[in-house]
Amino acid sequence: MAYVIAEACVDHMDQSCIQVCPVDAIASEPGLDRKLYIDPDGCIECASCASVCPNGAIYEAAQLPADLADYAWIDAAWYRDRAVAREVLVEVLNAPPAVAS
Amino acid sequence: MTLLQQPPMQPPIAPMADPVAAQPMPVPQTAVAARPALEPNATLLRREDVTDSMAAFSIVLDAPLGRYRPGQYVSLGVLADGEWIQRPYSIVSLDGGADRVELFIRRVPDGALSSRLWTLPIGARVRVGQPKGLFVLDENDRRPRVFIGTGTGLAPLLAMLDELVSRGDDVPSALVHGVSYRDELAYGYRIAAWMVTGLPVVYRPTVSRPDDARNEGWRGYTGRADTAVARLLDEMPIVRGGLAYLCGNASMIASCSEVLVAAGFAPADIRSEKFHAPAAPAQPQPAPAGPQAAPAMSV
Repeated sequence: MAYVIAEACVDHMDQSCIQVCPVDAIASEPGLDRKLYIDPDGCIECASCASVCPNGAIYEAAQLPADLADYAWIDAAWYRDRAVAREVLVEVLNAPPAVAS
Repeated sequence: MTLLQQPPMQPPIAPMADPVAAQPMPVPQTAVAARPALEPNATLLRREDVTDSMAAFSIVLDAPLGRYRPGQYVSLGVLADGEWIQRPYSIVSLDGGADRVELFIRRVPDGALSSRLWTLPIGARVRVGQPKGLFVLDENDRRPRVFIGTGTGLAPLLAMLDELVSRGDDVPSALVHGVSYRDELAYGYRIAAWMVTGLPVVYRPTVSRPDDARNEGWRGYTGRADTAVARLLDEMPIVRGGLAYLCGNASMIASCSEVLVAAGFAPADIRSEKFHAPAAPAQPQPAPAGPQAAPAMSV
């Protein structure tokens, strides 16, 4: 499964990940995006990004904690429709914390 | 009703088989243009075998690579059944007008790309990405350097040493190359040639299985990389005050970093590049719990 950039990237956007991704599968639109996004179609699962992220924001999709699960969809959606992905990101960020079950 | 009040969303690309989830979130209708199709942009020139599972690949690029710093890697891709299989490999050297790249690659069992690389004929078309990576030679730091690599982890270290030779660098350095078998000690002639030109590098290959028949006659260092590094630091105290560059698997990096820290290296002076395990579902991946990497390492 691809890697995913989750909440810890938001409003940090260190961008070390872009410098290490061997297949340029990480992008964002300056001024419009609050985080970076990994293209699951392009990701080759080399884990270079996860190794360098100073914010610990990057997970292999199968390892995403439950409260960050939506970020897999958000990353994928950004490469299809950025506006929708950004809307969903805002909702996810504004959602009340989930009650532990 | 917001999107969040719906049942758990599923990725549009690969819906998970979750019996509890409702229908997957539909793919957005206003799809942007699909990712442009990758094209071949390079040609295999030569494969020089070191062993039956390690080889140096020389590849000619259609166009010169962009900005490159010694220590970086490129993705190498092969088209198989209509799909590109790409993996990152460290650049050993970038020659010509930055249009000939040499890679030092190990064929891994069941490796999706590496198993195919060995079947490529000369002249095969491949795809090479732009140089990436943060594991680079610190050109402003003039302190002694220890380079430590295992197996094909030697590759980026060779690029760094090549750069030092080009610049006529005269700062003492040491290279530890750890292998299982002596016939895996590649590039010995190149390293010796650098010494002849005056590069002050001490070369300490180490063989971890000295009792194996394949290593008969070996008289150099034995043991794994961390043992060799400890011995080197005893023999060559001058390199304790500088930088260390490590490339190989995670456990080698961890054990050598311990040795280096114990010898007085500052954690910030220990630079490392982990060779990543091949992506496989069975491979256990610890969930990152915070900033990556132990304090002793920076990538």
